[in-house]
Amino acid sequence: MADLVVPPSGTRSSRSRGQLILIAAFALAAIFLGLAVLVNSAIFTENLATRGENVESTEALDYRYGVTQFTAEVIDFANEHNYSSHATVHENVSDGIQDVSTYTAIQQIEGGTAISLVHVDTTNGTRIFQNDGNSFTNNQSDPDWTLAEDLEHVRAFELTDTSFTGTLSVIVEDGSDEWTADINDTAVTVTRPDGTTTVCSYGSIESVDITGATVNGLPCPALEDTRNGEQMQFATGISGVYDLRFEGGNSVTGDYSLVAEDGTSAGVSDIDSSDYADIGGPGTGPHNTPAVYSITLEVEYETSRLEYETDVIVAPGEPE
Amino acid sequence: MNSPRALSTTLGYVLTLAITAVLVSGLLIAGGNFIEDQRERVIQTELEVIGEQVATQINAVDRLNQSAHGDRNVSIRQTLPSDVSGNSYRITLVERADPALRIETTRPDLSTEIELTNTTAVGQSSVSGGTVVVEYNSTEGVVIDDI
Repeated sequence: MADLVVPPSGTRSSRSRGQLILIAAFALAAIFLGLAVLVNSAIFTENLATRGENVESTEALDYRYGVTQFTAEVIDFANEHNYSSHATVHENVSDGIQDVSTYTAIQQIEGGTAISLVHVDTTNGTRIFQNDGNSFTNNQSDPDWTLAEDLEHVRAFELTDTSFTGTLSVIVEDGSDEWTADINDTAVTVTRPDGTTTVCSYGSIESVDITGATVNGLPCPALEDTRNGEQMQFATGISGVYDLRFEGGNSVTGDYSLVAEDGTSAGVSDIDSSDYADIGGPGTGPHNTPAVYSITLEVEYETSRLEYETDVIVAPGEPE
Repeated sequence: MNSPRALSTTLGYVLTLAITAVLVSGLLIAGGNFIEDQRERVIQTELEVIGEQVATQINAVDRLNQSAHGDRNVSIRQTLPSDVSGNSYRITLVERADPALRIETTRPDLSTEIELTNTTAVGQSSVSGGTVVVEYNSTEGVVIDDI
C-alpha cells in the first residue's frame, strides 16, 4: 500500500510509495466528479424538457373566452328584457359586466391571478323581431318588404319554429350587388353577388341561424363554407352599407330575430316605422326595440409570469 | 546465484514504472475524452431543450397576440438556467423569411437552431441565458428581452 508520508528508513515501504498510482487515482477521482456534474446537468435538462410551461397562456385565453360568453349572455338578456331606451339597456349591460368582473376576479385571485375587466365602449343597435308565430309579412301584411336600410352589420339573425308553404328570400343588397338566401321547407339556397349558388338540403326546416350558419342546429355549408376559395356567409361580397329585405314573407310562419348595428346616430331612422307594430299593439306585425349591438371591453390578465391585456369586442352571433 | 543482480532490479523498476505510466496515462486520456464528449452532448441537448422552451413561449405570445384586438400588451417571463454545464449561452431570435431561434455557447463552440412557425412577425433580438421575457411589441412583433 502506498504511503502518503515517508515511513522510517529501513522498512520495505520506503522503496514503493507509489506516487504515480496515487496521482492517477486523484486524477480519476476528478474525472468522476466531472461526470457526476454532467449527469446532474443531464437530469436537470430532462426535468426542464418535461415541464408543461404553456398552461398560463391557455388559462388567459380561457378567461378571455369565459368573459366573452358571460358578457354575450348579459347583452342578450338586457336586449330582450328591458328595452325601453338605449340608456336603460346600457345601464343593465354595465351592471351585468360589473357583476362578471367582480365574480371572476374573486375566483381568479384565489389562484394568484389578477384580472381587470373594464367596459370601454358600446355600439348601439336595433333589435328586430317577431315572436307571435305569424307569417313573415310587415305590419301592413306585405310579403315583400325591407326590414332596414343602410345597415353596416347584422348579428344573431335567426328564424325559429318555421313552417314553410313556399320560398322565403332573404335579400341583402347594396344597390348594385345582391346576396340571397332562398329558404323553403327542404333546402337553403345561397346565391352570391357573382351568381354562384350553393345548396344544403334537409328533411324539414324548422330553424335557420343565418349568421351562425346552422339549419335545425346542424351546420349548413352553404351559409358558411368557402366555394372555390370564396366565402358564402351572410352578406358576402357586399361592400359598404346594405339593405335587408324579405320576399315571399307570406310563404312562411314562425318567429325571427336579428340585431342590426345603427348606421346613424338617430338609429332607428333607417327603419320604416309603418312596417312595424308597437310592442303593446295595435297590430301584430314585427317589432323593433333599442338594443346594444356590441360592447368593447378591456381585459387584463396578470400572473407572476404572464401579462395579457387586450380589447375584446363582444357581439354575440356576429358572422366572422 | 543468490545475490541479487543490480541490472535486473534497475531494469525491472524502470519497466514497471514505464508500463504503469503508459497504462495510467492511457486511462486518464480515455477518461478525459469520454468526459469531454459527454459534456458536449449534454450541452447540445440542454441547448435544444432551452430552445424548445423559449420557442413554446414565443408560440404562446403569438397565440395570445392573434387573439388580441386593438391596443395590447402581451408578455411572458420564463426562468431558464443561467448556464449550461457551467458555460454561459446566448439566445438569438433571428428575423428572416423563416424565423428561427438560435441558442449558442462559445466554449465549446456549439449551437442549435429551432425553426419557428408563428403568424406574428418576429424582431431580431438577443439575450444571454437566465430569466428571459418574450413580449409583443407593435413595431417589431415578437421579441425577446432581458428582465
